Amino acid sequence: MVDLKVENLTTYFFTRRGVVKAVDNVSFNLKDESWGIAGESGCGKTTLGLSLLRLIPPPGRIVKGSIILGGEDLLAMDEQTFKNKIRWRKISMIFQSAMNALNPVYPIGYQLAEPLIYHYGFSKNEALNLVKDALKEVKLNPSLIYRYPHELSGGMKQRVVIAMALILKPEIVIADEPTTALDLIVQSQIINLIKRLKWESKISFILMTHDLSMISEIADKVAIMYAGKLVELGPSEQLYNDPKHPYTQSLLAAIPRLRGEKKKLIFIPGSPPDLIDPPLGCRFHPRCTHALPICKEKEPPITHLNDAMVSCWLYSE
Amino acid sequence: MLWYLAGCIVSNSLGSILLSVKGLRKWFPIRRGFLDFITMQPIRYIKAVDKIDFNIKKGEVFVLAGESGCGKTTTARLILRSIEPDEGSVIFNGMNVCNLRGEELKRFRRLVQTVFQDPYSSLNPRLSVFDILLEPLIIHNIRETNSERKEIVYKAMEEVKLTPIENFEHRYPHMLSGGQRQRLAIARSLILKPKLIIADEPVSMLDLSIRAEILDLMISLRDKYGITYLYITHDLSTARYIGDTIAIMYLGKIVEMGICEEVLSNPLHPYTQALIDAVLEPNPNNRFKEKKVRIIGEIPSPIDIPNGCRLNPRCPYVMEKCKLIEPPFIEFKPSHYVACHLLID
Repeated sequence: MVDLKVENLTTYFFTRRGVVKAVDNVSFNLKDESWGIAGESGCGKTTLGLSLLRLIPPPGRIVKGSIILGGEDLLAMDEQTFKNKIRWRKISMIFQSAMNALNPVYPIGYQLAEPLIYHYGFSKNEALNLVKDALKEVKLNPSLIYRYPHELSGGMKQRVVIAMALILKPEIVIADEPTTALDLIVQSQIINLIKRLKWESKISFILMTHDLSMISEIADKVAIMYAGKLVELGPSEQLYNDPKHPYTQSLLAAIPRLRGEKKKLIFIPGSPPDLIDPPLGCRFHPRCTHALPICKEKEPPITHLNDAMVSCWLYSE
Repeated sequence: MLWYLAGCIVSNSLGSILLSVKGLRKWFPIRRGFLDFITMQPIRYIKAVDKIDFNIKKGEVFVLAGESGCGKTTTARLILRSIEPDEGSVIFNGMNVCNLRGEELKRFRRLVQTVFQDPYSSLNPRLSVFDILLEPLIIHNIRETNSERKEIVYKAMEEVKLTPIENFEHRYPHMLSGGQRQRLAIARSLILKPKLIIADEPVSMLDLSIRAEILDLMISLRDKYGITYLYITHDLSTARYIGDTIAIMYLGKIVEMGICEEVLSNPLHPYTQALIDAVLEPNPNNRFKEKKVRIIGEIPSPIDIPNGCRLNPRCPYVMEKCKLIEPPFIEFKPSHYVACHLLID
């Protein structure tokens, strides 16, 4: 039973230019399902993922909020306890660009064995045997354990990185753009692998990408982020078939389709705001076609519509 | 021989042709080590582009699609003559590009411009927007006075909507967003009034939300100035959005070619079918079923190209014949060409 509760999570980067408000008051509750978090580059997706693992590099810091997993407050723990009990054992991550996530000077078997040795105190040989099973799980040949990363193709490296995230059998796996830089057909293979893991091992995936098509392949619930804020959150069916927030609507209308009628695509004019000095009120208002006078002044409250929540003045009284 | 004929048929049926590629081939030799040399190992080649033919009509968007390593960028470089072909010819506006020298080559390079994939590394970080746009005018000696040149630069900026001009002209590339940079790259390619723009994955580095903006800009410039595009991509859904004709490449060969809408709705080659299966669509029902993957494994290295049909080790419909004989490129339906043994009998 996975129960991850994030409340008012706020992560800022204190740079010389000013405070970058990368994640601002984000709250959600994930229970036994897989999620997709979508948004343009620079909207704070990766920072949110790293916050859950407490891996924010300086000058960044989690300023306030709480992350509660199965009743335990992860932010109140000291680093040693977090390292021993949570990071990689309960929550792990598939990092962006598999090409650079592996250490080039060690064979992949040893890199995969490291968490087993550290966390469970296995001997090297015991650990390597377990690694062979882990490689089978991601449909790789177990004999690859003595290979170096440069000897593997892009798709194989991505599978190794996935095996690495799964090696301690975590409850939650955060996948940050897991298929960028992969070819189209390999991308499908990796998506199928994630799907199978989701169905068979009951892992909750949190998939972070700008591509709503990919999220629809995996996520039961989808959150849309814009400029550090959650703007909409709801079950997949509702979000794709009846998007509420103007930003979600535009994101969906901007996707070129291969099947069906050829429609004119829309695009969102302008670019996402600088997170040091985000616009007052609703952060999306300078690019929004439905902006009201109040959008420029006050931040919209969260409105609950059925199972979904949306943060937009169009829906609040 | 057959692909030669196929090329001729295309050229006859399509009217006015701007660029014609005939039997183009580029093999890159691999450096041999000392041991290979004394053991008399033969020189091996990376067969990046292996005898391809296609024609681009005036004013159309010709899409060259395929996975990474299939030779699409090498083809573009051959057309631009930034590398020399081993064999074959590129005919642009009636002249053979491979024989151009000196002034003529310079004029050709003025008429054919490029937009690159990565707007973060294709713009000089030390030049301002104004200087980036001015540079081609200086190189090609267009107009004498600064005020005349300034006018051309401003017009190009307006064309790609980098406005208000006074806000943008003194900025440097790092002060622009990804979409703005790519629009600047388009303005730079536009400023010499080219006939053909080669756009190599111009939107793959951009967020989905601004891709349509760049694609629409490209289409509007075509309608306004009659620019022809060679659009290189791995993304079939943007290809469908912008393209008129499409050629699908696999390991240095064109495997299927025809009208974009026709090829994408009735793909004949197993590889095209697999690429189309792999395209993602936003539909929440997708998560309940596995994605169809017809083709196994990954694209092999272009050094050890399989005998016969290049797809045979990965193809689900492979026959004995496919392993021995390379399939000819035939016109299966009117102006829909394909190279596959399945369709011959």
